[in-house]
Order: sequence, then C-alpha cells, then structure tokens
Amino acid sequence: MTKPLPRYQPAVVADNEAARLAALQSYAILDTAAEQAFDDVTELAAQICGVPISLISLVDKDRQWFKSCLGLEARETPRDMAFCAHAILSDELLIIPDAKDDDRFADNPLVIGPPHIRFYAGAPLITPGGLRIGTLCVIDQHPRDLNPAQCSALKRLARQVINKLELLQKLKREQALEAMARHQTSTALRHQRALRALNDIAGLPGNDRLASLRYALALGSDYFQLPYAIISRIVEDDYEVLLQYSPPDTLQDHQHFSLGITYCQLVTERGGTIAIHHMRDSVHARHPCYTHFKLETYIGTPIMVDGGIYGTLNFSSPEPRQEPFDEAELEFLRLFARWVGTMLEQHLHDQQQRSALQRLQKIAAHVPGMVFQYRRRADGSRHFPYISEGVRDIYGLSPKELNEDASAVFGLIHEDDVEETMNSIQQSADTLQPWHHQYRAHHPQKGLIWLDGNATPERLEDGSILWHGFITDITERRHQQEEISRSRAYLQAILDSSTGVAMIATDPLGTISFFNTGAERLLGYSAEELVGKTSPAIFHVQAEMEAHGRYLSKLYGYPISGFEVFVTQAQTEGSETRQWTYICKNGEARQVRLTTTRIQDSEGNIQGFLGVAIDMTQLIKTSEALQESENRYRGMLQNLPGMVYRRHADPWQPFSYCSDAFSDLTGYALAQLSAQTPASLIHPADQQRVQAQIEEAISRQLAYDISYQLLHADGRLIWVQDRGRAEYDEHGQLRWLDGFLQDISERRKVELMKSEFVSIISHELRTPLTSIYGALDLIHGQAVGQAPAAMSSMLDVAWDNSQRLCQLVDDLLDMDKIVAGKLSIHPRRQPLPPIITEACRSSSGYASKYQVHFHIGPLADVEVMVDSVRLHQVLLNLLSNAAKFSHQGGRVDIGTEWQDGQVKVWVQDQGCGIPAVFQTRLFQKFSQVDASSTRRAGGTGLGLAISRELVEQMGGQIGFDSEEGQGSTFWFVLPILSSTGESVAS
Amino acid sequence: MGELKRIMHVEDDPSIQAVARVALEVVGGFEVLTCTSGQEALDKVQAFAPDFILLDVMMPGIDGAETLERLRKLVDLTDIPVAFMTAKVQPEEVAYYHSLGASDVIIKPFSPMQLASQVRNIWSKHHDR
Repeated sequence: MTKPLPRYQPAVVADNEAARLAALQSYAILDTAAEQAFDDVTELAAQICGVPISLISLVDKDRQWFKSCLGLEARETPRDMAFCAHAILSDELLIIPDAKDDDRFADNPLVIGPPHIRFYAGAPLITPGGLRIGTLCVIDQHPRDLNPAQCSALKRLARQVINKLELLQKLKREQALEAMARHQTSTALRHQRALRALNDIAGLPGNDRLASLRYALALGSDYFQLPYAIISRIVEDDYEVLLQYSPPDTLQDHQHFSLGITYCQLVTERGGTIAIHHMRDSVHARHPCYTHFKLETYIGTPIMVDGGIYGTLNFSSPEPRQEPFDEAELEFLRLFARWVGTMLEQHLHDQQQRSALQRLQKIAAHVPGMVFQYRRRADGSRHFPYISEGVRDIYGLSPKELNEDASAVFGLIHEDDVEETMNSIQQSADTLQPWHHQYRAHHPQKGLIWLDGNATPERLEDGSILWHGFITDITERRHQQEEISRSRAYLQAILDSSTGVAMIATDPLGTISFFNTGAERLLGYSAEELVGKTSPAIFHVQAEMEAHGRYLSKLYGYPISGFEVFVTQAQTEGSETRQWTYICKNGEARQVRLTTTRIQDSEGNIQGFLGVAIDMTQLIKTSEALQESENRYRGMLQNLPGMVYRRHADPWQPFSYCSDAFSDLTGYALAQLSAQTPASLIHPADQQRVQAQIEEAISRQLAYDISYQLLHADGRLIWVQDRGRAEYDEHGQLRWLDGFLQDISERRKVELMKSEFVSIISHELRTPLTSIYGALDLIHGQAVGQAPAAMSSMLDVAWDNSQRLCQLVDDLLDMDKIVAGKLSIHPRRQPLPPIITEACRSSSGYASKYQVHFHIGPLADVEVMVDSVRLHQVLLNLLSNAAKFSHQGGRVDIGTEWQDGQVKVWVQDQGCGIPAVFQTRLFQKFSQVDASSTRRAGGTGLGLAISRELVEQMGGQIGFDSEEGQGSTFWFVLPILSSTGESVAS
Repeated sequence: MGELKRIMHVEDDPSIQAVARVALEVVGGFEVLTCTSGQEALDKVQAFAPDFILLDVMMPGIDGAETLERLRKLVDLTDIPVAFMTAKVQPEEVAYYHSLGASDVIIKPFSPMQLASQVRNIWSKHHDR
C-alpha cells in the first residue's frame, strides 16, 4: 500500500526563527529530565480545562519536545505534524474545537491515529524578549470548546511556565559563573602568589639586583617544582649560566656550555617559549641535551633586554612531569622572564652607569681643577651633589663635606670678590645662561689664588637650579697675564711717550712695518706714506750706505749693499748702534744715533728689525750750549775775587764744592779739597764764634756774613769774609750752605789803619778842642768877667761851634765803634728817673738856646738794666733834636708810661714833624731831613743811628710817631727789672 | 769827712791847665795847684795836701797811671778821690782806670762850667762809700 499524500499543512516558519531558536537554546531545557514544577502546571491546566491531555511543548528546529506531558506517552513529535508549530505563530490562544473539521489537521496522523486528537487549545510561551518558544496546550479526544475562564487560566499558566524557565535559566547562569570563578581561583592561585612574591622582590630595598634574581629563581623553582633554575646569557654559540638556583654541587654561576647542547637552543631558535613535560615521549627526545643531561622536564623562555634576546630563563628536572604545562604556567614564565629582563636591564644600566661614573671620576681626577654639580634649592640652601677630588686643589676642602652643604666654599672667596661672584651666579640662575666668572679665593695651603669657573645651569622640576661645571686654578695664568699686560702697557707707554725717539720697524726684507710718532716728528714723513711701501733707505744718505756696505763687505767677506747694510750686524750680533744721517722730507739733514735690533719669534726666526733713532742734532747742540754755559760759569767763577763753595751745615764734613780759587785762598791743591773741611780751615780761636753765627743764621733762615781767620797751608793766618746762606728743599729741609769766601786781609789792614787813624785824629782833635771849648765856655759862662757886647756875640758863635765840633767828634768816634762792632756797653741795674732828670738838666743849654721849654711829667719809679752814660747819651740826642726842631717858644714834653714789664720813655715836641718820605730813613747813618734843616739845626745826622744801636744793645726798642706839621714824639722802650708801681715827680 | 778845698790838677797841656784853673778856681771856688807833670805832682803832693786829685792820662815822662801808683806810696789816698781826665773813653780803658783805684773818669772835652760840680759829685760819692 502506498502512503496517502497528507492533506494536512505544516505550519509556516516565522522570520525570526533563528532568534527564536537561540532563545530556546539559552534556556538549556531541551532533553532535560521531567520536573515536578512543570508537571504541576500541566496537571492544573488539564483539570481546569477538563481534558485528559496537557503538554508543555518546546518547538525546536525540527521537532517539538515536551518538558511535561500529561496523558501522553511520547516525549516528542516531529515539528511538521505539531499543532503547536501553528500555535507559536501568534500571541493569542489557538483553539481547534474539532480537528476533523479543520483542513489543517483533519488528516494529521495525530488525529487519525493515536492519540486521536479532536480538540486542541494552545497558549504560546512568550519570552520577555517577545519570542514564542513553545506552548502550554490542552488536548482531548472529543471535540469540545473552552469557556473564557478556561482560556484566561490557560494563558496565565503559560506565563507561569515562562517565568519558571526564566528563573531556571538565571539560576543556571549563576551556578556556571560560580563554578568558573572557583575554577579560576584554584588554578591561578599558585602563580598569583608567585607573581606577588616576584613583585615583592622587585620592591625590596637595596641595590643587589643579582641577589633578588637568585631569590626569584628559588621561588620559580618551587613554583614549577623543578630543581634547576637558570638565567642564562647567550652570546652567539656561548651559553653562560649567569645565575642559577640548583641542588648543591650541580650548577655554578658563570659556567659556560655550548648553546647546542642546551634546550635553550630551541628557545632561541623559535624565539618563544618551549615547555616539555616528558622529554622521552616528545619530539625532542633526540636533542643532544636529552642525551647529555637526561633532563625529562624543561620549560624555558627568552629574556629580552633592550629589545633583543639576552638569554633564557629556564627551569628543568631529570624527572618527568605527570601533567603538561598549562597556560597559566606558561603565562607565569613569560611574566617572570619579563620581570627578569627588566631587572637585568636595570642591572646592566647600573653597571654602565657605575663604570661611566668611574670613568668620569678617573677623568675628573686628571682634569686640572674640579668638576662639580652645584645645586641651589628653591629654599636657598645649596650643595654639591657631585664634586670631584679636585676641590682639594681649589678650596682645600674634601668632596664629602660639600655634598650636603656648599657654604664652606663661599667663606673662602676673597671678601672683595664675594659680591660680584654671587651676582654672577644669580644672573646665571635668572637667565639660565652659562656661568663664567673669575675670582679670588683663600686656599688654606696655597694662600690667595685666582679661580676660573664655568658652569651650565639647568632648572629642575622642584624649582632648584643645578649647575654642571668646572673650576680651575688660574693663578699662574693670571699672573702671567698680568705680567704680560703690565709689560704690554709698559711697552705701549714707551711707544706713546717716545715722541722724542723715532722707532721704525721693518719686515725681514726691509719694508717699513711700523713708524711711530717720534719718527714722524723727526723725519717729517707720515706713517701712512711709508708703512708697507718702502725701505728706510729712502731717508738715508746713499753715500753713507755705500760706505758702510763696503766696510761690512770687507768684514763679512761677501758683498753687502742696500737694506742689508742696516741689518747685517743686527742679524748676526743681535743689535748694532751707529750714527747715521737722516734726510728729512723737507731735505734737512739730521744726525741720529740708530740702534737696530732683530725681532725674533720664540723659535729664533727673524720676524723683522726694529730701529730706534735718537736725534743727536739737538743733543749735540744742547751739549755744546751746556758746555758753553759751563765754561762761562767757570770763567765767571775764576774771575771772582774769592772762592765759591757749597758745604754741609756740619763744619766737619768736607766741602761739596769749591771753585778753583780754593787753592789760591788756602794754599792747598784743589785735589786735596776732599781732605779739608770748613772747620779745619778756621783758626781754632774763631771756630766757636763762626759756628755759633752760622747756626744762628740757619735757624733764622738768614744769610750770614762773618769774618774770621783762616789757616793757610803755609801756616799764615788770613782774614777772610765768609758770606753765605743755607739752601732748603721744598719741604723746608736744610740741604746745604752756599757761600763765598773772600780774602780780606788787605782790606782789614786798611780798616785797622783807618780805625786807628780815626782814633788818633779824634784824640788829637779833642785835646785842643777841650781847651778851645773850655775857654769859650768859661767866657760864655762869664767866669772870667763880662766881655764887651760886640765881642760877646762873636764869642758866642765861637762857643756854639766849638760845642758842635765836640759833638761831631764824639759821634764820629761812636759811629766808628758801631761800624767796627766794638761799641760795647756796660749795663747796670739802676733807677730810671734820675737818668732822665739828669739828661734834662744837661740839655737845658739847648732849651735856652732854641728858646723851648722842657716839661717833665711824672716818671715811672722803675729800675732798669742800662748803661747810664749811654742812656744819657740817647736822651740827650732826643732832647737836643726836640729842641732843635721845635718852633721858637715851643714846648717839649718828657714823660714815661709803663706796662707789661716795659717802660716807655718819650720826648714830644710840637715842631715841624717829619715828612712821610723821610720817616723810613730816619735811623740810618748820616740822615737828615733835608739840607735846609741841616743848616738850620746842624748836626752830623748820626745821632739817631747811634741812639738806636745803643737802645737795642740795652735790650730796648726805639721809634717815633710823627706827622708833618704836627710835631713828633720820639720814644724808646726798655724792659723793667722792678717797679714800685708808683710814679715820682721830677 | 773834711771839706773839699784843695785840688791838685796834673796836666801837661798849658791851655787845658788854664781852662781848668779858671773852671775850678773861679767857677768852683777851689784852691788849685796845677802840676805840669807827674813828677811835679809827686814832688808837691805832700806839701800841698790836696783834698782831690785830677790826673791827665797821657803825659810825657810818667803817665797818669804811674803817677797814681807812685802817689799812693807817698800819701794815704783813702780819703782823697783821684779822677782821670782823658779823651780815651773806651769802656775797657775806663775799667782799667777804675781798677787802678780811680774814683771816676772825666771825659775830655769837658765842660768847664760843669767841671766844678762834676768834681764835687765825685768827691761826695767817694766819701759816701
């Protein structure tokens, strides 16, 4: 029998079928065991609807599977015959009251065969996402219908199913997550701990990275349970055990192997991790390492340092492992290796840095001076993070004491340089421009030294400034520089100031390269005209050059001409000086003394020549003039009637100079001059007096004029007049005595004769005068009776003139004594008034003669030290003058006044007075106001001069006050010895 | 002290002898014995017994100084002042005369009208000692 074609129609498949299936899968409910919770729902649905069959059908891709099936044996049916496949096409209930009446199901096998479905009602199971994954359905074998309450209940139950499914799904997902978490914890824990340990190691203080690495190897060995742990270093075919952790007496650091016999060869070959848990069974069982070391287990990975393979990190064991290495272990190894790589990198950098530092220190130790880093923090504190040993040489300090505090350095800077130095550092800090400064410092051992500092500043993030630089001791260089600049300045000064000296330099071939102001002045050429253009030959005389050329040619044995004549000698001897004639630009010829020197560099190569020319023309002229002046002076001295000398104030020092007359005067040869002193030439009897007078003159800065006897070489005594004065320098210091010594023996003889003559004459005159005057005086006094009137007037004339003649002789004698310095007086202590009254009485003759009246005022009762005869003479002179120059019937007042230990005696007349022009000459010898006065009054004119001499010798002063026409007052002042303080009437 | 009456004047120059005699006799009112030389004075001094002696210094024969020396041997001069008359008035000379025992020196030329009072003064001073 053929199977009849089914008339029923399978349900269509909705567009969202894939999503619907995924949602169904997500519940993971298909093919699971029956559950009471779902069976309860079907039971409830069957009861409510009053049907025998109820199902929870889940529509899978090709089937419908029943999570719960009440009243039905089958657990699933194909999807094409499933009523539910239709039910899931809508959110609403699908109700088929009689399948036999419905075309879609009438011939459905489930209708025509068991379970003989006639009634079907299905509520779709709608997920929260809106997908219909199946139904809750009720089925009956009889046609029937559902009331609305039954419909609603069915729908609610369908929702309950979905809720239940949702709950289950959530629960399952949580359980899965928990399980996963549990799994992860258990597997990762070990290597997490290991990693943490690694991390802890990495964070360990201390710089011994190799020790940290070895500890890490121990940790890895424990983690993997593999006894051999190695960090290797691989260079080409060389395998070095850099670090190892292994059982005693097996491996050692720095063991070397050939890379080929290690498993690490595989690691480097692949550039990745190799992990073998049982070598014998692995593909590498034939590896030389296996045959060599019988290592069953091996796990290794490359260590990367600075981007390249440095070596390997590997763990191994002769025992095989039960389990292969899992991913976590591989990950651990890779992390471990990365950490090792970092550690090694740091270690290598440290090493490089250390060696670089050592290299730097070695270099720094050989650098003259000190290398440093100087840091100034924002708070102003300063220190040297690095400072080389050279600081001992610069500041005498040790690096250690400056590392934390730099202050000590600043205390050593020279006080005058501190401010400038600090400013220079500040400026460098402000501008961040390199610091360069030269300054002085007090080195504890070396003393004051010059330093040169250079540093580059850098601003750090913390606000501090860090300088990198070096300081060198430039004391010597500085001294050299100073020396050079000093000598340069000196040279410059010479060049600048030597306008009187011509300096001409040439290059080795003779072209002028330098022509100074002096040369310009001398020759009239400007430097511009000659420098670089010509040879000095231009201003030389051709004939002179040729002559010198001939001389030199003969001397050196080869022809020398042109410029060579100037420099050949200098070239060979170093320098040459000789006289040349220069022809100036204006044609004038000048004689010069030219010194030529060669200019050499430090290697002795001749760089040129320097000629220094001095104009001798002027010099010659000057020296001629000087000679002439000298001759003139000498001639004058020779013609002097005496000797000019210069000597020390000390008479026992030899003469500094004596003119030629010395030998004439003293009888000693001029050559013996140095053996003679001023004192040795003076007669011993005169020495003391002469010396006293010279000293007096020196002390009063006056000239001296002394006569004394000089001891002539032949034993004679010669009277000399010595006139001179002391010369002083600008500070008033005595330099020497300049003077003139003249032989006055002859003059003195004449003077003596004259003096004797005067003495004799005056004496001889006096005797007859005494008689004449005496006789006339007696007649005049009428001692011998009355003379006849006519005779009487003539006798009076005779008497008057004899008196004047006596006075004249007296004055002449006195004056002679004064001139001869022989007027001596003999002061005696005595009262003053009697002398005055006596003088007035003696002068009464004058008073009556000139018809004047003497009026003596009260006189001071004082004692004075005077020679009464001489004071009498003075008073007489003043009184007679007053009488003479008074008008007839005039009055002359005599008086005294005393004060301050002195007494003033005055004689006042009311006469004609003294003309102003004459007043200055009044006390000079032979002075009288004028001839007419002389005639009227008579007199020698010597009186006042003698009076002055006398008063002064008695320690007083004489003077007058006068106005022409108003009379005169003559006075003298004497020192008082004692006084009663009273006056006495005359 | 006696009275000054008799004066012996020793002087070689007749002019001065005459002047002095008038000055002393007429003006002074004294009794004067004029001796022309020192010798004459020595010869007459004891007989004349002067109260005062005026001696010229410069005289021929024995000069004034020697005359004084000799006079002192003949008579006691304690109460008889002796004054020299001279034109030589150098201070050292004056000192010299004093040292010889002269009471004073009268300087030539002298004023005859004053001579008597000068003598009197010397005589007074001498006896005031």
